[in-house]
Amino acid sequence: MNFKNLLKGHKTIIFDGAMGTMLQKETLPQGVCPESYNLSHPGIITKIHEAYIAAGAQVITTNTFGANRLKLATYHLENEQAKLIQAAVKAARQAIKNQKVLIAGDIGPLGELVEPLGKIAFELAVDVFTEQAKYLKKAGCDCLILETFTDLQEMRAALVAAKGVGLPVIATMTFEQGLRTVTGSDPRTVAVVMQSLGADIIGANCSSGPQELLAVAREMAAVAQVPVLIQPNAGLPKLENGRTVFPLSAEAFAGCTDEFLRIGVSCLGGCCGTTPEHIKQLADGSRRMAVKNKTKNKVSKTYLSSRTKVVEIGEYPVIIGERINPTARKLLAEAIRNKNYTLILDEARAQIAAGCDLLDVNVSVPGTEEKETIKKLVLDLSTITEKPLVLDSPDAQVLAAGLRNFPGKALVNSVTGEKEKLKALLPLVKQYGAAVVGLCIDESGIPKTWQKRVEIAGKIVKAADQAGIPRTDIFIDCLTLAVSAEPEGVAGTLRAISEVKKKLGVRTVLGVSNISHGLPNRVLVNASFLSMAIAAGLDAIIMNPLDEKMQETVSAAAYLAGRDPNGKRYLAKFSAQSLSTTPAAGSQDVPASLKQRIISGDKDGIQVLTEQLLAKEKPLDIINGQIIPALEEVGARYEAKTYFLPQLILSAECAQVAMKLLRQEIAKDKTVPAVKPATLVFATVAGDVHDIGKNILIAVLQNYGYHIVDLGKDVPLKKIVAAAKKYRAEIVALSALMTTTVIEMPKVIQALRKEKLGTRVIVGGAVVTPEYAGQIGADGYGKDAIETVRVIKNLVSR
Amino acid sequence: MVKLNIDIREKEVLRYLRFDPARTKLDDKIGQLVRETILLGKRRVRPRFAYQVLNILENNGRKVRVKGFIIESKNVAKILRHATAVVLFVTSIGLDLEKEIDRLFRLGEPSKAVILDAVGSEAEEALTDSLQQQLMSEYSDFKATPRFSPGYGDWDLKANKGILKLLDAKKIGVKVSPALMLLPQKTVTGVWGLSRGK
Repeated sequence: MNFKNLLKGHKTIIFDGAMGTMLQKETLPQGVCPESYNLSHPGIITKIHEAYIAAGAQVITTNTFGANRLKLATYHLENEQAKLIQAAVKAARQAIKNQKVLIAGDIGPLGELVEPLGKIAFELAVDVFTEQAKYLKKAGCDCLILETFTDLQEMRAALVAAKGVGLPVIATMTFEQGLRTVTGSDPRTVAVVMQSLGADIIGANCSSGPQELLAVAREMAAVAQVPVLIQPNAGLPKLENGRTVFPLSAEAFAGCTDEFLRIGVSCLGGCCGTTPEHIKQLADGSRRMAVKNKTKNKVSKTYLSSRTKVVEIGEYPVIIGERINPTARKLLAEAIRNKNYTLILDEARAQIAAGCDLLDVNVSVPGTEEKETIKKLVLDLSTITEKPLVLDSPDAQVLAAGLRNFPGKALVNSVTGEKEKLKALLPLVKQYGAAVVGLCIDESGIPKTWQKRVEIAGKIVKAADQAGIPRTDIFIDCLTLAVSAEPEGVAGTLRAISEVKKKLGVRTVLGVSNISHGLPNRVLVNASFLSMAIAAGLDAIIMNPLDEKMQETVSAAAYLAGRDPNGKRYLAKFSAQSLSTTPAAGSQDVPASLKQRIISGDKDGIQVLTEQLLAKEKPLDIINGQIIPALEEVGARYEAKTYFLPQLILSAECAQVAMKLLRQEIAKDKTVPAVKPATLVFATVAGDVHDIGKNILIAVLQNYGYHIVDLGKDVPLKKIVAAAKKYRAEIVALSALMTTTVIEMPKVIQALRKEKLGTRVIVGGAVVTPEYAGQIGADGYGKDAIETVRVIKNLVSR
Repeated sequence: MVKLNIDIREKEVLRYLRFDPARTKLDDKIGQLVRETILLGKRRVRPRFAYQVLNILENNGRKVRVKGFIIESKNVAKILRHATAVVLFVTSIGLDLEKEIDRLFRLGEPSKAVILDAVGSEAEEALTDSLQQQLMSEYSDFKATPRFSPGYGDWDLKANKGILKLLDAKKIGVKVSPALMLLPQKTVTGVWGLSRGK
């Protein structure tokens, strides 16, 4: 009996039930490490395994759930790891004797979250899991089971580790009510990511009862390409007399068995609160029905994902936003050099708002530490967007840093047909469960003929096959050159696209803006070429999603090419647009719409709208005619309490998007004399760590054109004075929340006065009153953000 | 073992954000944002608590003495005048949520950050409610008095030091700064009394 044989045939595979519940029945005392029983009471462990085998379990799970270095250390047992694991597997082996039962080495989560949600670096997590997996393999486990994981990124680390030791791997996560894991992943995302990382069986465990897990199972089975395992609890736990009780009887527990099998689940077992009796009912029930096919789904779609959502690529073409790329974009390159990522995050948001499906991330700036940059950006981007990332670099090390830290299934852009490159990159793609772009280029450059390009594509696909990357996860880029330089190349590219799809059954991807290089009316040429490529079968388009013409071309071309059945998407997009976002003829509505959008806090599309306005109006006119009236209206509504705090701030965020663009324009215009803005220094005083009020004020103030220096919280007096001096601050704004910290304010004011800087001081915070502000000699006091803006305006204009 | 159920009420979150039910209009977009942020907040709440149930040894109207601690407050003494025992407690939702708030401000999403702050306040309140409810279900012969915390009325903030020491709050990652500020920020200490009766 081995793992491969287990998966054959048409029978449900039965797993065992809870170990912890059984141990508690055997009176495991509170506070004792459950794994320590492997050494102190191996007989009890063997007895539990025997009971599950007798009940019909074909796979039993070792008592090693928490046997990782970090968890054992909390019991001061980290040096006993090898012994505890060895004893666990031995106890399981003794229960099996000569029966056809497999041992799954159990690996549970670390008990601490992986970056960015927690402190554990991905690499450390892989290390700790690898150690546990190696001991389990050495002790003789037939396979490994990773279970009860709550965070997808931690599961990724465990899978990378487990696959690394070379045993078959089973992976299950737990879901909360609302069908999400604790850190927000839905069942499809979990399934896609786990199977891409090489899990041989995927599924869900713990969570809740069988009834609640049906919905999770349905979602997972819809995208699963490997068998699905479900191990529910014996119902939702209840509290009775201070004890946790699982309410479902064995019969009730097995009540959903038929339904699970119908959905396509082929492996069943139990988790918390289940006993051998529960497993027996499950085993008996499952005999009534044959499992159709354990790996039923023939792959046809491509799935990419972020931590929380899957993007399906089937017939309809997807858009890859190309704007996060510092090549020929000075501001971006500068931002990367200065490690100032807000500009890049804004680029991401704008592209998403414009409707891209995937985000390309290229951080290649000469002389910078690209590995560091990509790690940092991937962590930040993965918290602000739900879009899968396309990691864009030819460098294996940079790609590895990105792949490790992206908590989903990314697309690697790209590998060429050069032998060395294939050897270096494809194993990486496989290891981290990504998809890959292959460029039709090899040691001798870009081939002229389409035949040669298809040949290189074939070489790449063959190498990817060998690396174990499925065809649906390969995107071939047939490349295109400027039509002005190589007129006959265009037909070749189009031919190559359709041939590659037909012959190799892979996806295709292409950047479409190069084609018009050196020509007038580039937009027209790009859009026309894009339609042709979509007709030829192009799956993914690398383009600027903010370009509306190109967006519209995608919609129309997909419809015309028969890739948008009944024009459903086309109609949905344009019927909606004619009502809301298409600028009306005569453009009278456009200005009103920017003001309106700021007032209603509608962030999507503000960037595009501002760009359109800039083509017709001067930036200052837009500010005075649209943005300021909008902010005044919002402030008035806030004071009348028809708006509350989040609406005030959301409107400020919207205005900020437009203001950024407008300021750039103003800076370009040399006819307007540059006015040095007033500098405001902000600090929460020493000893105080509450900075929410100060941060709210800054968010609202962003739009008023001041130079804002935020010193943060718990700021020592000396640092505030030094900053006031350095920046020649017109105003220093101090915040304090508590009676015990507000006393720092007069000290700062005195110190500033002593320096005779002419700086004015305003104060605010929960315990500060206008009277107190007067007593300590402050120049102003603000009750809330709106009032403080007014106070600041008055002080600065004086 | 005490098992806590933290029920974050949207209405309360809105209240923290100065929502005025009579005047403020909640549009779909903001409503959606608030609900999303509540879900996000739920995932960042790491509840923890410590408590001791102690008999009242003396209550002279100015201070209340229990084993190992003296509550120096007339306000508290008045609330506890019919109580025979007290629960001294500390509850906290941990650091993860406030880190997320910082992160959101840094990433340019202040509206979400502000809502998350309110979610944190409500979660902390709900956590304390839940602890009280759970404990009181074990003392069914007793009635709970209102809760009271240092920093309110005449109960000096300095009492935090003693409470945290008594409850060994270091173990659950709660401490007090030299300026008597509780860390994590969403932490509550305090007392309620147990009085015999219906």
